[in-house]
Amino acid sequence: MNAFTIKKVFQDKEASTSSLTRRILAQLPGVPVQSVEGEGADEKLASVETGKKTLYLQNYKGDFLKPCPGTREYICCGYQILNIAANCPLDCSYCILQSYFVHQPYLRVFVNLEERLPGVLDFIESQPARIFRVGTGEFTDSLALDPMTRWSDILLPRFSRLKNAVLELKTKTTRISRVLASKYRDRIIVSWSLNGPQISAREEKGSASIRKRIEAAKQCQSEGFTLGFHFDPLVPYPGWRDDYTRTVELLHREIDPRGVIWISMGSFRFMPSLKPIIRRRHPKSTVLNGEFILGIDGKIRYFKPIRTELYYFMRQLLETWHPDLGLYLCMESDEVWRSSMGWSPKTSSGLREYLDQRVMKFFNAAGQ
Amino acid sequence: MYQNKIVEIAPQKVAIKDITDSPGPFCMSFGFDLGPLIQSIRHVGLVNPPILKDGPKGLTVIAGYRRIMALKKLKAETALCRIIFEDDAISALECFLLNLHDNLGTRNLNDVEKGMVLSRLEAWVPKQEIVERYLPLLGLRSHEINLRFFLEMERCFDVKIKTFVAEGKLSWQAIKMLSQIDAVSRLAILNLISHLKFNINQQAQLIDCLIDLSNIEGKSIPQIADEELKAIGSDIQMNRPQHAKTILNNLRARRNPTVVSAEKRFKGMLSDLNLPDWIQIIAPPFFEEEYYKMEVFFREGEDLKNKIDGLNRIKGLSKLGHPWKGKAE
Repeated sequence: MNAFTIKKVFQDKEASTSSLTRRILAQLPGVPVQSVEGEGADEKLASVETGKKTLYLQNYKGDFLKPCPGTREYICCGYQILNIAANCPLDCSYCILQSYFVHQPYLRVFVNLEERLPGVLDFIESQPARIFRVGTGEFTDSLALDPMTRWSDILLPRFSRLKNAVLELKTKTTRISRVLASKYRDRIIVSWSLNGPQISAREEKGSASIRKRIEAAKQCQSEGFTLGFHFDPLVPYPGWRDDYTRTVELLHREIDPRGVIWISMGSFRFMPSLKPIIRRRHPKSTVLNGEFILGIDGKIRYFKPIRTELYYFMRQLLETWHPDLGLYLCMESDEVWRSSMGWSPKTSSGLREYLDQRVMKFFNAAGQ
Repeated sequence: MYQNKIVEIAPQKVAIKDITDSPGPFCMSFGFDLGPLIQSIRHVGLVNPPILKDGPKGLTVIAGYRRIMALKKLKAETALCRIIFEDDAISALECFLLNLHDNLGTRNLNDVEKGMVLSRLEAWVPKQEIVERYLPLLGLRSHEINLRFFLEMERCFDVKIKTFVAEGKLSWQAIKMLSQIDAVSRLAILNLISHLKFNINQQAQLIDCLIDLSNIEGKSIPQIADEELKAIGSDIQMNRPQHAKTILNNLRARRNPTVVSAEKRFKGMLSDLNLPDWIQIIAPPFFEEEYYKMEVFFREGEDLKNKIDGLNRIKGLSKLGHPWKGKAE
């Protein structure tokens, strides 16, 4: 996999005193750094391509911990997002961030993380009866920039000592060196987004191959980490069954399923505004070729029987590997749950409970 | 300031034949109707003198191109104009801005004209300044994507499409989609739209479907458009909007065969039930929600009670269900 090259750094004046800023800049010798104030790092002229090579170090003004923006119309897992960065150096054709951050294409790293993290941890600890499943991989790849930002050094020791939380690092890369160098394992989940090898090769530009991802997962598992996997977005195309079977076969060969806390599945869905972006930026992409309908949450998604078939097939495949993988669906209806998974958590709180139970099983976490 | 200099220039009589017909580098008029201006000049004469530039190629119009065109149509021989000479030290950009502000003060520019303005500005003004200063001046959001789109439209759209755009016959969404495809496909779509009179709401659906099908089937857009036109043939029973609707339906069935066949099958299931006319069963949009809806028309409570009892007598009602399942539930 190619290293992600940073060609320019914008450093917000407010962020200049941060120790994280200093550590990041120390990793980027020779890269020009421009100090800016307020909205000084003008992004109006920046293309997405330039944005992916430009780091913008700034303080994050909002809440660092926020619930995942699920919609009420479908069953949501109640995940919490730790906002460490916005945007991603990978360039997956289907990525919703292209639409979310269309006017802010730079790789924003929030360097006041260490300053604000105690508040986040206090908030989590102040609710001991609740289990927090926290992840950093929603608005960026959790590990793609880790060798430079060393987020793992900051986050792993702090989350590892919490009694009622787990931290999930979700990635499509093999950048696990800092994670492996850490001595903390408890309450840390290293997860990989997986797909069929064809989709990965054609649609996930800059990411590691499926084989390499699974090899990295194997390495993490052998070093004592709990693993998670996410088949999202599932995409049907000619030969998809064989392709996904190959990925699950690789898992079967390399990974001990008893160390997998959960595997999520989600089919490709997107806000309508993403479609013209995919067409313009990824003209060879085939992710838009399926049969889509407008979902009740305003997102475009596959026609229900197609989604059901995808999940049902994957469930059969994965359950053949191991019967207890913590399989769950991301943003699906009770009906699709029942028809594809054979059961349903019925509501978002039902799904939260199911996943919290997985956390308790794996980490003997407090809560409830 | 060049503004003051212009006011100080005394209008002088100019022979219309000496003014070049070409719009020149300062023009930002497209798709205009000279009729009202001709009427106005005919009734009250030319109120505002056009501004011309005297250069090596003769007299070029800086501001007032449409007025000059109207005068030519009226076969006027002379007109009072202000003339800027090389010695006046007014730059090309200043001339252009003069015309821009003159236009913005009196009318709304259409989208093609906005493209013309931005394209001309590109020669003189840095990109960042165009984005920050001139996009808002034209009523557009200050972002590079907008600049790119308008420049693309100005450079790539031919006169036929520009005319459609200027006349407001294409939806904004349709224009954006058209700007992202090749010229041949654009023309094929435009021919289809103008031939069958697709309305503003149908245009984006049509283009979206054609682009998707072209990607899925590996065929060109003109080829697909041609196939669809041939498929509807020359059914004289249908008028053009009906043809347009048929083509849209056919394209949708081609694009989403599973969805459309489920909808058809459900319709068939309902038809097989021979429901009385006082009851209507409606599927949720795209069958996405789990629940179907039933409407019962009744006069009073007693009538409703009888009709609800009557529901039990409808044969096959319990088999109604998702149409994609091998057997109805």
